[in-house]
Amino acid sequence: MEVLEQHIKAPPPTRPETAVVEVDERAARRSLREQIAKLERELAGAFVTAYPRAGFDWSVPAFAGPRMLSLGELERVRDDLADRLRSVRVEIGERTAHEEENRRLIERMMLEPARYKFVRVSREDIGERGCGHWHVRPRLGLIGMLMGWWQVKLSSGCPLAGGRQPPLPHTL
Amino acid sequence: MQDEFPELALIGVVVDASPGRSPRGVRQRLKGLSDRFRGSHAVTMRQAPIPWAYRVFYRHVGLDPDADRTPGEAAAVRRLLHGAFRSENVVDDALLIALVETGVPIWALDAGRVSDVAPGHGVTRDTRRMALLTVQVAGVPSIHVEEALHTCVDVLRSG
Repeated sequence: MEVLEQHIKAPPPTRPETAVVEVDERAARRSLREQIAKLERELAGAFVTAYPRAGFDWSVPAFAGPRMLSLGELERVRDDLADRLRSVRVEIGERTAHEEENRRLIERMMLEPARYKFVRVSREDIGERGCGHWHVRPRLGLIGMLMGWWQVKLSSGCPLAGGRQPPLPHTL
Repeated sequence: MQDEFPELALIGVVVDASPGRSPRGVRQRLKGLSDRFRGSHAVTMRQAPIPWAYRVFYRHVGLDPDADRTPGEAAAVRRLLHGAFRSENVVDDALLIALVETGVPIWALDAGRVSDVAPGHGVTRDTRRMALLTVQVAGVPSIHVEEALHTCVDVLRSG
């Protein structure tokens, strides 16, 4: 009983001292600028890796006009760059995996063309430039189709440039 | 500004030169640059130190370099679209040659009005002295800036 009373009578604990945190904004800004520079370099690397594949979104939205950005705005640029880099890397990974599957398909087509009748894989499907494609076709046309003579034909590439379009007739 | 971008500098030089048609040698030089500049350069240029430095600076001031292209990338896109670096006049050609060879953009202003820098106050037919100005950002070595200005002056004096 005495012990309890002693506890109750004990002076209440003093409030913890309020810690005053001084934010060194200059250091924070410098750090953010360095992170932005690093992310920009990595995004440039991803851009080069992705080439010649098209259809990626590289844009990172800008603020209204060139100006000194606030700490929050610098953070937003950093976060947007990081998000963009992450999404682009995921997309590159998915596409390269798909391209690898297509390369393996070409190999199988070459080994057993009869199993892949009329299957067509373009250079774009394996992440290469140009208009060529691998196409399983019957040798000698209809005869080959009936006889089961199948082969993989590699097309010669892009069609020749057609030149400028002829001028349209004047319309009234 | 100084605290934020300690390496940022506006560097200029004044040169006695007049605008006009580019001489044959300058046009040949531009043609040679066109022949050496290919699509692969345009793709990989953002990884090169100087174009990258300008892209980073654009990011730092809130611009998207893919929307508002840096001068070097804008020149590369024009080269790909037109099939060549087109000769315009000796001033534009000098600025373009310096930009493509060094990656450092330069602007030409009428030296007589350089204190009043504003849109439309650039070089005119009556200009006899030009102020060539460039912006050095972090990551761009001074020697490249000097080389860019030297190249530009060299081309202008040949005109």
